[in-house]
Amino acid sequence: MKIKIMKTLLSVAVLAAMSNTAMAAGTAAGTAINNTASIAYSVGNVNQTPIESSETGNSNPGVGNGSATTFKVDKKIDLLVTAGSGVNVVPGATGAATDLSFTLKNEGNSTESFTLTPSQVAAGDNFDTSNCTVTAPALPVSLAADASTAVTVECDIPPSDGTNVNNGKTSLVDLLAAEATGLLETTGAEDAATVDVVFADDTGTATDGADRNAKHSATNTYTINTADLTVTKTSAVTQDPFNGTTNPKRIPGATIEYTITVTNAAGAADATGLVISDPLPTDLVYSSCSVAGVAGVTCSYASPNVTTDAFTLPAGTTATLTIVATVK
Amino acid sequence: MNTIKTTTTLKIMAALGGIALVSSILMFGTQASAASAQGHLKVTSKVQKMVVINKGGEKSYQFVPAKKVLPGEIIQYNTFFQNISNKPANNINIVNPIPKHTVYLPNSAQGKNTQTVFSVDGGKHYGKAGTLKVRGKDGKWHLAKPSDYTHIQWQYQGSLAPKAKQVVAFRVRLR
Repeated sequence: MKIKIMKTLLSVAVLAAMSNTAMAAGTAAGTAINNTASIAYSVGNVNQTPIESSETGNSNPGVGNGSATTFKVDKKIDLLVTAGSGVNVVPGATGAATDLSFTLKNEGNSTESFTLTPSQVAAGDNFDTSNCTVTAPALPVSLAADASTAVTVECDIPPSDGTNVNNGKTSLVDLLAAEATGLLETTGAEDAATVDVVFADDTGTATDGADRNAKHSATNTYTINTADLTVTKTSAVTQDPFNGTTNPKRIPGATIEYTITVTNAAGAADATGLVISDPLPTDLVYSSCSVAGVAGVTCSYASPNVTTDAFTLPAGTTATLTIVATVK
Repeated sequence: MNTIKTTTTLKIMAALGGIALVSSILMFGTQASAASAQGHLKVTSKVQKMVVINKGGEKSYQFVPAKKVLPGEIIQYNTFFQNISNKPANNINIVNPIPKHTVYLPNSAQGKNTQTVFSVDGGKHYGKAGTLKVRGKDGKWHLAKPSDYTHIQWQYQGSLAPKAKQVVAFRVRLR
């Protein structure tokens, strides 16, 4: 053991270990924070034994005769729900095709359990989905201080109705997270010795109308992205046996050309498995057919219909089926 | 022959985590004081926390007793020292380790008639703020930041008369 005689400065230094763990959520609830000051002094230039502090006042010199001024770190309940990116869906979609993602983070300083509830947003969107459920994680979910979990919500998308469930129309889904055990904020007299509970969360969306209520929420969006088809059909007499190609008339022997176009609007989803089918009028005899606008698609005649193969029509393209027939 | 009036205080400090023992050994003098006798000063440490008051958009700060404290909040420690003897005290040095889980708030150490110095090596050496250095993970010496401070020391200038009371204070942020 070393004996040191220090002439200028005598101080009792409590060598506290430096805290290496810096949690974003902060010091764990229940941790005691202790402080002791120590005063060295002289009387008549004679060094005296240093005196430690206490909360009420200590004048007993020597190490260990003071007492720490202390308080406990309280429990901070704080959570954050954030929405992932929105999802494109087709009318009638269900299950994994409708997976909507959120993240829940425990921003407090203690391990807590949370419930998650999805719901429809009343205004600001075009349609409502139904049967929304949280498919992951299992609820209630327990998160340590500073921990996060990914959350997946699935809903049933309604069928197309011609107006509200069309290309570009949206539906908003709100996810509300809440502390699961009904923990209450500590009211009344505060106590340095016990761990009080303080709610420190911010206000989320409309379902979490207030801050500091142990709840938070966020909304995510479904957008309908489906094929958007427009079909037109025109016919023309191209020639007759008497007038030739000059103002031909629809008389026996005349040639009729039908043009059927299908356009998938720009920005829509690809239309897959598209088949154009057109019945020939009974007074006409089939001559030929052709398909333009999409490569490699053929058509055929099986009385009374002219039909194309199934094909994919990308957004912003037009497929044209031309049928040539003769008037009987 | 003059009697030698000296009081030498020896400190035997055990290794980290052990119990620090203090024994006072007195040379000849007319005063004999045992280690457990009344000292000349009464030392009190009070803790407060800072609350922000928002009155119609205007913010002001108030310090209240620290009972309910959350991570991120600002704490102020006030150390009062009073001379309870009938002789003036001098060479007064107040040492306060920065409490675990807290970070010293820069420029917050205050005290009338004091000079403040800081330590980054557990209280072995002290220096003025802005002059202390710590060795980084890269092995190089860097200027110490307030978050590196381990101890604060106030050097009270002059003497404290009998019955006189003074206070020093500093602030930390709870991690």
